[in-house]
Amino acid sequence: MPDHSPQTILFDHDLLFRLRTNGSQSLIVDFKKDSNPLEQIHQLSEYLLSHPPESLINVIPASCSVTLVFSKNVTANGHWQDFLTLALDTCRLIPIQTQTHTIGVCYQTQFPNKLATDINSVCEILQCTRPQLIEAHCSATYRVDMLGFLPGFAYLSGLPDALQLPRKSKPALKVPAGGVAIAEQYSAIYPVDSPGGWHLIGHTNFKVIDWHQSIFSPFKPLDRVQFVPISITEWAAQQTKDNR
Amino acid sequence: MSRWHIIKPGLSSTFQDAGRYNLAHLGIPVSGALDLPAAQYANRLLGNDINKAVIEITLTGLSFETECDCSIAITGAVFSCMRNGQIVDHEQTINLKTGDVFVMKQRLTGARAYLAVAGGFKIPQVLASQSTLVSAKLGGFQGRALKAADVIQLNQPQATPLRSIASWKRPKSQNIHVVRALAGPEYDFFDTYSQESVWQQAFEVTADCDRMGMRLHNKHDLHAMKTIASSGVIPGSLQVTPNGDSIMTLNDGQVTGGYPRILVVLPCQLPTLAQALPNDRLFFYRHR
Repeated sequence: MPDHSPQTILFDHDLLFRLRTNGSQSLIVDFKKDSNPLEQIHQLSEYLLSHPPESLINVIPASCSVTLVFSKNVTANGHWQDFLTLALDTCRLIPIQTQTHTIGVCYQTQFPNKLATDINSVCEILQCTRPQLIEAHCSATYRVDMLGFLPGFAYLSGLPDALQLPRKSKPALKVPAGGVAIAEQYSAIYPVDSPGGWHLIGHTNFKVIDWHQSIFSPFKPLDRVQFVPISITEWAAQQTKDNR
Repeated sequence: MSRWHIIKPGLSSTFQDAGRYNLAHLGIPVSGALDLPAAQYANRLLGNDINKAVIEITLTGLSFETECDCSIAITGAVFSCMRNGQIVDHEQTINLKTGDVFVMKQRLTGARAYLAVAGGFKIPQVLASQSTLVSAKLGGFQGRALKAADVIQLNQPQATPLRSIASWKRPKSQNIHVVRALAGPEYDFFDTYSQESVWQQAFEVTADCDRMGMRLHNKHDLHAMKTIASSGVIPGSLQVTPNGDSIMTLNDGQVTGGYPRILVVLPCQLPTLAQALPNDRLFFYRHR
């Protein structure tokens, strides 16, 4: 008689993820989009980073997949299928530590470096006033869905529907570090001066990256973010303090 | 003093080592020398640890004055080099004396040269690597490419015995490169015509190239029939944009991306891509 113990059914992950090869030394673990997999993705990533299988050199979590990169050849075979099934079971037991960051944003347009260059055009597109936009942007609690694009660049989900708009058709050549921007279903803070296609609606003195700290970015996956409006005077006072 | 004064920095000269790993989940690309075997070879010739930082020099040469006696090696792309105005043999390690001016003149073959010094450069480790990531102002020399008048500190410069560089380890002056690759993770999303033409047509390297990626020109458009959610992107992935253009991702490329990947080149072929010049043509050969 074959043994059909309840566990084998309970922990059957065949439908939970799919394995694809990504070149000769990388695997992609795909999760079903509709299964709301984000928490599992970050749990699995954290588990693999703390218990790396041999030759694993990078783990890249995204919105519905985890990409594993190795320093040796790998294939999407039964070995990895089994390994990941087991890892997914184990990693559920590890709680993810998250924290809430409250971040002051100055939504001023004029002084001194044109902090919020796109706020007027965004108001025009969204058919709202500036105070409405600021209120809506600060009313939401955001979640760090993933980090990417640039080091420390967090995709903050939770942007109210009323503020969602496509990226700019022509990216700006230079968005300043600390620029607070929105695009599609996300808000974000630019960690360094860089080109960028998101709409710039404010500026913060909150440091998203500091290479001199051992933990260089305060953002971790699934952290919460709350924006609060600050006046230009408060913003300027923070600037002077930071530069001292 | 053990240091060099940069006279001309070249188009884009950055410190690179073997790269930065286990940080991609925080948005940090691997970086590191694009032609890693060439960079390691330069170190090996001088008796250094092979994964020490070297200067990656792209397309145009660098020149400097040394304030100490030292031995150097240049691998990868071949430049004609001069010491105090005299042509020196680039096929071997080179000894320099205090006050010598070393100039890399005309580029002869390849795109990227690697300059190492015996004893190594005094460059801090940031996030466990000395590699420069210009886009994030991270690592290397102040997080940027070298500029004229920069002063570079050396660790413990020493004279090493002259060793010659095997000529077969130099990029040949060829303008057609065959690059072995596997079908990419989204290969099935492309129409049959694209799936066939990707292995048959020439991909011309455009001038739009840097350490993040190379934009390639393909005469026959590639067409994906589906869009994808963003996922992790590794160096060597050929991403196809909605208008049919192709972008080859390199070491400083963003760690996630939302364009479908029609192929991924074998890691051992990345040095070939690193040495390809604008207007060169690439053919992808399907590795099975």
